[in-house]
Amino acid sequence: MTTFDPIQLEVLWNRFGTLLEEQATTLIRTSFTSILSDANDLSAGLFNKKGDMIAQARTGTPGHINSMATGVRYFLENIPVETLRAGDVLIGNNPYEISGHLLDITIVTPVFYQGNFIGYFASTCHVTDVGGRGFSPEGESIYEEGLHIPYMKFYSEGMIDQTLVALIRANVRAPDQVLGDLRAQVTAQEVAIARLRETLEEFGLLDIEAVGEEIMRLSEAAMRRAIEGLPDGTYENELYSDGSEKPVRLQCALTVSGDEVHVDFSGTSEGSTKAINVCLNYTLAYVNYVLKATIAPDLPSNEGSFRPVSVSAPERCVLNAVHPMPTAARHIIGHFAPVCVLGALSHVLPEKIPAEGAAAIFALQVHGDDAAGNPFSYVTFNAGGTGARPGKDGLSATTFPSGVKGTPVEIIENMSPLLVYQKELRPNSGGEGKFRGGLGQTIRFGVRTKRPFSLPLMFDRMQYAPKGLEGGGDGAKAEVSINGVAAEESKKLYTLSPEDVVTLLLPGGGGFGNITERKAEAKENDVLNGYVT
Amino acid sequence: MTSIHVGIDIGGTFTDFVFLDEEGKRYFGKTLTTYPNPSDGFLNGLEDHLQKYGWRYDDIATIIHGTTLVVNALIERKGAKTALITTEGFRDQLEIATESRYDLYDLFVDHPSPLVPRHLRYTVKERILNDGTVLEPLDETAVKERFEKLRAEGVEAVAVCFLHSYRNGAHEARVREIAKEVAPDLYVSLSSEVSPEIREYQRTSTTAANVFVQPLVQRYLGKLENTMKERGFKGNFLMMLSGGGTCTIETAVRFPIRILESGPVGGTMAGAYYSENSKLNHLLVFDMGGTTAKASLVDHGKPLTTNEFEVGRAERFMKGSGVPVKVPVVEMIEIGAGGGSIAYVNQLGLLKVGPASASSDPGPACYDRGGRQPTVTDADLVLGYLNPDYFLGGEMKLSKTRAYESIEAEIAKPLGLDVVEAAWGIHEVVNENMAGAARIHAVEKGKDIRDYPLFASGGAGPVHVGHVAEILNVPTVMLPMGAGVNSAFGFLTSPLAFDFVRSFFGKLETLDWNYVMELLEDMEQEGKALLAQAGVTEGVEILRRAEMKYAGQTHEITVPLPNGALTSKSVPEVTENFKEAYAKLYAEAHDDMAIETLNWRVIVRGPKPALSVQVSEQRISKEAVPKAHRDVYFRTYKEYCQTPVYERQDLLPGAEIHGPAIVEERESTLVVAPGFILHVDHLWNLWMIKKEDRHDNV
Repeated sequence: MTTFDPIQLEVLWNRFGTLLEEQATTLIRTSFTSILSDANDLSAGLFNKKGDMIAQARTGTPGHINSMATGVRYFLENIPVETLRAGDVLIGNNPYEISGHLLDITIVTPVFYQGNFIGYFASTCHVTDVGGRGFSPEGESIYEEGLHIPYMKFYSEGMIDQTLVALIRANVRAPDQVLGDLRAQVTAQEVAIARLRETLEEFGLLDIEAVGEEIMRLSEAAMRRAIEGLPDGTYENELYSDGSEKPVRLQCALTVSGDEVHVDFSGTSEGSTKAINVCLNYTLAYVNYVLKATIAPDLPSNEGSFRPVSVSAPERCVLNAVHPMPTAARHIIGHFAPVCVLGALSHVLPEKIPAEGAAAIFALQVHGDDAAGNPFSYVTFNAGGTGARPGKDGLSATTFPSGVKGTPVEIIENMSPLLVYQKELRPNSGGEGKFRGGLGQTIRFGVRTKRPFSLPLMFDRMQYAPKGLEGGGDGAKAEVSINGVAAEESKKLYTLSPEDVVTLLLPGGGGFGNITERKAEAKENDVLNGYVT
Repeated sequence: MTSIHVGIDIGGTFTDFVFLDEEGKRYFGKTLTTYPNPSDGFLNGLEDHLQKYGWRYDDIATIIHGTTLVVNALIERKGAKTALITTEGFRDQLEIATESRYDLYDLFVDHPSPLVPRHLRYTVKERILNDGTVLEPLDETAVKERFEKLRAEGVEAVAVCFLHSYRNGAHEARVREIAKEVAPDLYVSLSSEVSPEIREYQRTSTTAANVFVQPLVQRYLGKLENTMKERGFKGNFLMMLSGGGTCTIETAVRFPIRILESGPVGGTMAGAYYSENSKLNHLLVFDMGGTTAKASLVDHGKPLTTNEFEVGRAERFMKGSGVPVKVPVVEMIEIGAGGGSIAYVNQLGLLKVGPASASSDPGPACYDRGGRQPTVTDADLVLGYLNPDYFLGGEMKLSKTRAYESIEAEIAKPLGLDVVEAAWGIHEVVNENMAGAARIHAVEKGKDIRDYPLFASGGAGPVHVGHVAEILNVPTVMLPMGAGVNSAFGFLTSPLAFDFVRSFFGKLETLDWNYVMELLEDMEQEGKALLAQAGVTEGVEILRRAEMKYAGQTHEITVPLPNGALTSKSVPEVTENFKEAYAKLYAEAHDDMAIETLNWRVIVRGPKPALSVQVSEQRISKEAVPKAHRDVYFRTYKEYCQTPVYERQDLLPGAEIHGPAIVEERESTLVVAPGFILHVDHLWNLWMIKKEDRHDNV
């Protein structure tokens, strides 16, 4: 077996990082999905022959990067290695095994070097549309949610599958964009493959097996050392989300035993009839994310660093969706799961864990007709406050755990008939404490239209406030009102009149520590700036 | 009477001077930057050099100046007490920003603090829509009262940014009129003038930054100009712009945010000048200093520019961690890799270098000032690349023992390597970091890095450039004469120029071309007037560009537009230009999709200064005699070998040296690895070429 000295290994590892970053950059630049470039809702990774991820691009959002890592093996189970040829490209969007909804399409390209199959490059990308109900919580089964592409070959020895292309074309709303996105993924992987070949040549390697093993071995050992720093035991937490037709309870028991962590979600609510269900692989992705962020932020993510971490959840519960449960808006509950895990970790790592924040992103979707009568559909993402941290206030109007970005008001008003009357920080929404929770936002808008318009709310936190920690106060709950009248349900399709004005109050983060310990200077600053009135 | 051109660059440590006389001969100078008043160093240094060479102030035709003043004031938040006036309902755009975290894995990450704190952000009733129509008129009484209060509160500067003012700036203009009546002594910047570009957060941030530094810049440039005039200076005093042109002092005072990056830009402009002179289509300008390395791409003698910049990125230089500023800047990436970058073993047992830096205090271990952590400079010293007795021309002695000890303790022992292997590891890893960053930057711009010969400057650049070139698979490296004052020389190569922008969103197929022409002509007239103020009316060049994208995409690309009248008949040509630009970046354009326009840009540029650079001495010699030999480590041999050391001044045009060799000059050291040949051209520039010995056996 080839051995690597620490410098050679660092150099090779660095090269893998660079070529994956090239892949991700190429993908972002050539894709059509705004979600992709604004939110980095994508992932890119290098896998060995067995489907173990060796390295991934730093660019990407947690739900994707970690779920693809553990999802690629399903391709290998379904498409035998012996059938792979140079020029093949695989495709699939199984929502239950990869990243949780049909809108995420994964492309896997086998890599051949000097005639031998040596591994894969893969990427997952949130495409513009997959037909069905689109990006909506309204679906009641996967059959309503659009085109399900089984694990299959997209290209065979360089030839594209025209049948699949025709099927996609016939089933999605924006076929050029979607096929453009898929082509971007294929191209980006070709760029990475070319670079990998050059690297192997330069270093005189025949494959990536030995170097991959070494990378995973070191990462696994480092992750295990980090976990060993936590005291053994089981730590529990529960968290409530508004849910769809009724509140959803998330319950987790995080068990540290030696150098391994297992998170069990038994006690979590059963699946919803609406599309807020989360697959276990997406749940795992976000568990991996918060563990890394709290105990090993500088560790690279790969199969090795994932090995010591496992999750379980009862089948058909809201965090372990199975076919044919609907999943399109899986991000809402999906983003609560890591917050629940953080709460459990706060029992052992009180100095590292923030209080609860808004958690879910507030995806504001509006559709209807514009003033000229042309149909429109528009979505923007908005953030509440994050929880206060031990030693620091929370962040105002900032997404967490997701990495999505907001949209400028001027862009919203140019691209859609929405008219925004207010988008400001929401005073007094941060939970009080020694460290204050981040502030939510107040958003007030109408639509420039002559006809009724639809507002499918995908909100949360209207019933359950973000909780404070260590004696800190809760953040303010979310509120929605229409013409000043409070709306009761956070997930519902509202049909509104042209003159209606909608006001959204986004939640603030919870506080940390007792308010009596807050520094006088910080209190004065809060009042001076009107964060607290 | 002669006519001298002078470039003066004030950096953090040194103030550099380049004088170019009528015959094209260059004279270089360097003095220490003076604190707290860098203008002292500028004025005294200028005076000293004029005396030294026997010139008078009225011999000077032009002085072009670049400075880090603006960027430092922003990073240190040492500007005017600044307030913001904005549309009712939108008080917090500076704080809401992009609603995201720049580092997903750091739960303790913070946003950059806003330039204007919330208690100084005020709103007034007014509203303009995206098509420029007025939904709600400006509440003038409220504006008047506000300015009276601001004045009483001791506010010095006010940024005004209303929604959609890039489309209709009337309300902002009216605010200034009112301010002139009520508070004429306040500095006021309007977003519709400073950065009339869509996206309210970035526009507000840019406008606030502009007015925040305005009083400071006005005082500073006023002092320089007055003092020089008193001393007899009658020429043009120009400022270097971040976008690669120059402008008059009046313009710089009005838009100080445009001179933000004026120093570093000079280095890229110098690269652009040499690439054009050397008939190189492409060039990667590579500058490695004490704490960071910078790289910029030059195509066909023109640097790549961008309209997005961030001031004061956090320690890891991560995107999104600084204050955004939307002004034209020469595109440059910066990473934490310099001579002072600290090497360490991470939790995985791997060797890492940077971005943390030992900076100048305590500095690398070899400075022997108490620094214990090994740095890149320590590795370079152990490998024999640096001469312990000739660092900064011998001004500073380096301790090889300290360097050796620190590498042994912190790297070699923990990794089980010998010290030389560890030192090579540090050298190699930092080179890999820089090469990787350059490669990703090229991909972001749709370029193939292998097409880009390297142009090296900065103190540490020449030590590392050869190996970086090898990693990037680039066979050619150029090292200009006077690399130590490269930026100041670059100023002299830059034309008078100004960039304008207006946002106008629309679909290409249904665009109101009359309105577009109004925008373009407006910008062109304004540009010509600015140039005329500086005395340039001949040879004015106008470049039009637009930022466009396919409907549904969020990344715009920059597309050249034809000059002359544009109408709906221009759509096919503009579409073709878009597709061509798209194909260059992304390989393939899509045929049947709608195209949208966002920003319209005009660059108005004077003629390039006619420089004819000569060298004062025309000796030619193929001979090159080393001044010494020393042991230097090369990876090719995996051991030290006796290597000839040359003094750069002794290498005459025509000289040719085969690696391995070392070439020393006062500010830097060039490492010529085995396999490279070094030439000296007729302008005393060095060219390092990799011999064609790569065996690409597949």
